[in-house]
Amino acid sequence: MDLMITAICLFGLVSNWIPTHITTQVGGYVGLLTAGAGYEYKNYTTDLLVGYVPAFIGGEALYSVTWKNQVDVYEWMYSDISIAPYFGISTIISLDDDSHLPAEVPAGYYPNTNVMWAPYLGVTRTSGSHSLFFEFTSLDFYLEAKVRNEDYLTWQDVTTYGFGYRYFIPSGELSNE
Amino acid sequence: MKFILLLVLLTSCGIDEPEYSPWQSSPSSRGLTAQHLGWLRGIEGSTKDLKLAIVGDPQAVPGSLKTTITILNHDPTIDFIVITGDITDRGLLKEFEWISEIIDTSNKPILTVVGNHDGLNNGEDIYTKMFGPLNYSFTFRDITFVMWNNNYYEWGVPDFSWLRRQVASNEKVVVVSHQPPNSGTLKKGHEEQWKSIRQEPNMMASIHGHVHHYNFEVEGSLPVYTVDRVTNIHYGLMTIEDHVMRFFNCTPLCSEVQYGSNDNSNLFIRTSQ
Repeated sequence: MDLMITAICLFGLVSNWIPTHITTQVGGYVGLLTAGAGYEYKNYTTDLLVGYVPAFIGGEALYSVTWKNQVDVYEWMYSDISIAPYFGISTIISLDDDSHLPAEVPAGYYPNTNVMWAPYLGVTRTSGSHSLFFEFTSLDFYLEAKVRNEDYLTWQDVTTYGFGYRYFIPSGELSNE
Repeated sequence: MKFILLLVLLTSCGIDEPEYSPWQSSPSSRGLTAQHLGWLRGIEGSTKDLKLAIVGDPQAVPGSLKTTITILNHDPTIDFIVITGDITDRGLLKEFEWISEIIDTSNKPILTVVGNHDGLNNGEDIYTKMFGPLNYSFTFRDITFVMWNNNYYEWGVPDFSWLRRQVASNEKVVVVSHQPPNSGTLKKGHEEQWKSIRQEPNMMASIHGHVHHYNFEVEGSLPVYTVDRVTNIHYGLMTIEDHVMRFFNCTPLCSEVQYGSNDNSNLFIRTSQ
């Protein structure tokens, strides 16, 4: 967690603290209501999102922070619209006490329970300052289970989907402040 | 607004709602323990013989559990199945859903006891909603099965007073718990407390999982059976026929358990009549 915050701060310093875009996403283990911001550099995009799932869906109110890192593998241009498939990995950190190990558990007895790694594949459609994306997401542990149960678990069993929107902040909009 | 329309469109096309968090705890199946106990009551009949399949630790290997349940479905002589805990590896909802889908395919009742891994994350919340209480008991053909949560790291000191009451107030008792005796998680004083309960005359057998390998011991006259992990189709059987109790290991061919060195006189443990 400390490492992640440090990395984001360093990245922010390098970029004069001004994110290139703001982001919201539904699903994909990130939350129902999410908000965040991020940076885009060439074909690399990163986002930091705070997610919330209300109790009537989550069983209890759930809060998380997600750090997404993705790379566009190609880009097709149609007039002013670009379509870009991408892959990436998220680090999802639960902010809820239930996801932390009980105090009695000896160190190293279990893997981390409050941090999950979520690989994903998706496609984004960008036009001007607006970008929509749709992606399929799994967890590292689910992919491991898929390998161990390849004849039983389907891809549908081990993945979910998410979709979202990015608004790219015009470069002059914030830098004049 | 576009997001809501997309969500409505996807779900109306038969596509499941997305998962919003790995830590969600709203299972689609609920109250399975009560449902399966009702099913078990319906097949009690008048016989006193019994055949119980014992399946251990299906965490992260639902494929092996599915194959095992399919095999057990083809054996009409088995009355019911117990899963000795660690249904999941991380206590995540998706893992619980994998197992409940398999339980739905069983043609005989399945009763579960909670394992230590099931208590991770929001596992306790999901387990209690999907299955039911963490400690419960039921009587089938005059034998009381006491399903006891003895996972110390996740739930603290097990409820010894509840266990003692269950053993004292029933004539023939089989205790099923995830952790076997001396698994290394309970403190010495707790192990001694549990051992004193196992020495009660009403105790018929003690059944466990957790360690992922088969073990069979006899403490005084009490058989203590620990089932192998279900991986590669491993399960156990406990049978009572004409008041004689036996244990078998199945891989999936079944052979009666051997213990001691060559002392065949110990292979048959008589139940109280």
